[in-house]
Amino acid sequence: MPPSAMRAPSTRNSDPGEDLILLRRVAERDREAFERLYLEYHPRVIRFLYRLTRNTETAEEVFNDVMFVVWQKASDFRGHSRASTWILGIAYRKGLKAAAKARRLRAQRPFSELELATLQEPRSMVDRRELRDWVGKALDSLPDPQRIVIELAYFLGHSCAEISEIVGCPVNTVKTRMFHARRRLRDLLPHLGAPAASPSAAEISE
Amino acid sequence: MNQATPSADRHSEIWDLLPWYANSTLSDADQRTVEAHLESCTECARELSFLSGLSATMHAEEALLVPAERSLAAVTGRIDTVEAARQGRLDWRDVARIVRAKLAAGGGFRLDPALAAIALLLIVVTAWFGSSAFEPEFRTLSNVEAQASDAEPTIRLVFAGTATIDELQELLTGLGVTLVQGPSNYGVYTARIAAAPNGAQPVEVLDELRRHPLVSFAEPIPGPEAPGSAP
Repeated sequence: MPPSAMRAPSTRNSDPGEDLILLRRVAERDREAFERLYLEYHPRVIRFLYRLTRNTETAEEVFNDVMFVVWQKASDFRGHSRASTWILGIAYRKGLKAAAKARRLRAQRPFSELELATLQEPRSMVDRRELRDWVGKALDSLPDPQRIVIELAYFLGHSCAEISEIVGCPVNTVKTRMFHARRRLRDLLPHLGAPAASPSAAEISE
Repeated sequence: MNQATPSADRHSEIWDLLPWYANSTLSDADQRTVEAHLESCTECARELSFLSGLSATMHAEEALLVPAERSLAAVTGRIDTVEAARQGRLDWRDVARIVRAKLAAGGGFRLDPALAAIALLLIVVTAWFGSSAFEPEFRTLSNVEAQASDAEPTIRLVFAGTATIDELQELLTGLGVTLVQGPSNYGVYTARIAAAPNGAQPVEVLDELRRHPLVSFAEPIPGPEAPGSAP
């Protein structure tokens, strides 16, 4: 397989120029532009926030807080970065606080939403969910700053420079966080990407 | 342990670029450099395979079914409230009503700090000048009695995607609700609550709409809204 076949397609699916125009119109209190921006960012930012908080309602609530800030502060945006970087930066700061709160609540529950859903699904879905759950648990074990770098890079497809702007830290700090996150994830998920030839349950029982 | 040689330095440099190669955000020049190195380095190829597996698994999560229109209507209502307050079309009684309504509806209402500050200021100023200084221009469903007959309460509505035209007609006619505008590009309707056939008050009609399974969102519009201004 050529190396390029293993690369993820870019997930930054909005047009930076169009986003900038919309944001400027929002700064002028253009409600239609706000609604377009809202609907454009809704799917991916909600998913990003869900990945941070593991709670749909919290993700929805935080996203509305983010877009309310966008409405109020659009005139402060100077265009030194992409509009998406600015909006993600707001989502990052608000999501981080909500994630800490959600983690405390999750610790008080006997079953996670994922585990409850797993009990009610057919086997093939359970297999896929198990893999995601496995990766999810490995990500959960990372310190928040490292996990967020991974989420921004692999879930939302941002570059190193963009992540440094979103998170508000130097590029070298992003690289260091990525380095430690990779090392930790490799320890926890040694077979991801190159599955080991594990014996089946029947083979083990023989 | 390998000694640091030019080749080892090169390997280390590429190793640090791999995460950004895997998510397709490297410059063309860096991309070509990584690809040339990958042809002869099995360790980096294994690492790329790991990073690609991680990325693919993270992307495999199902889409979240969060209806955007309902959320949009909620944030739009919040913006309406703050904008009305800024323009002096909202007094402290309206703020109190909104808070009460949100609390009664349940579900994580948090008072916006700016709105709280405006509410506090209005309370203080109202107390100083007397309540007559702030007759509410802002129309809410609970002060409808004081409105002129042509000032029927105006609301925003979003319907469930499964609703048929017949079902909506039956629902709206039964509650005395008339659609006056919409849908916007995002499925939001503007409607007026006239006299309900069963004599229900506008507040009761709004409650009925909020509880109805065909209605995703129903909220009053603060302040007069000229027909033609898109919700």
